[in-house]
Amino acid sequence: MDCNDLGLVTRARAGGTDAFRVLVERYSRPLFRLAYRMTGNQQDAEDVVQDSFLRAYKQLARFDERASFGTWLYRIAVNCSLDLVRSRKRRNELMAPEDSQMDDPILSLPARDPSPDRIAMSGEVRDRVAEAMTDLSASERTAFVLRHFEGMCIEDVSRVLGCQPGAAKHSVFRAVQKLRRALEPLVSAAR
Amino acid sequence: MNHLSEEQLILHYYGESDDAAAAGDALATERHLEECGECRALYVSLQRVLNVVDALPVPERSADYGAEVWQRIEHRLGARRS
Ligand SMILES: [Zn+2]
Repeated sequence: MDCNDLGLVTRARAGGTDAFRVLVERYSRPLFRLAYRMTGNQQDAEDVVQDSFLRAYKQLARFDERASFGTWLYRIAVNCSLDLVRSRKRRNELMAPEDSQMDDPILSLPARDPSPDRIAMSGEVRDRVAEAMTDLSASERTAFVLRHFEGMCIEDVSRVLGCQPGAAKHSVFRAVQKLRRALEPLVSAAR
Repeated sequence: MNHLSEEQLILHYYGESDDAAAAGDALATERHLEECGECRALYVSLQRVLNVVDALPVPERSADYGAEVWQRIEHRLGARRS
């Protein structure tokens, strides 16, 4: 089926699950990548993808047709991710107060289809990068993922975060600063 | 021109200008980076760090992942009309 997002949304609103199905098929993979960057965990990312589509479907009537469906969906996915990360943190704090990073499964990820970059990246480096990402606050991580990996402009990042562009910019700064502090010794040692 | 701040370097990396009014900023930043070894070193380290971050792998999902997701959620969509 070849149809633009807006046409599909309109049909889905009228009860057309086939139209919504096309949107799910179109956005599942990019949403998974976003959710994985946000949660650092495959199972969580899978859950976020499903929850996001369920939430989106329920809230379809509230979607503003002048906006981009993709951005709107990303906002939902970011919120699902943050909810999940928060509840996981709480769970971890209850169970192991001092050790909330212990079960971060990103550390044991097998890359299925390794690109040259992935091969070049040693396990230790990967672990340190993953750890540095988990040390970012929720808004820093969100702003960084959207700006850096998704290539969104600051305006769109602020729309997803529901804050002013200046605040979004500041979150990107802080994220990059923290990453640089954490990873700088690693990159200078490698060369 | 004073040395560039870390914030300015980060903005420059992302191609965002510090101030919407200052269109010449990017040019001035570039010129400073050419002339100043200290700032250039900082900028190169920033680039290296972000390159390493870029290389963090994301597990792949197959082409029919969307269809799998649909199968898992289809029966749960009913709630909207309640
Ligand atoms: Zn300088």
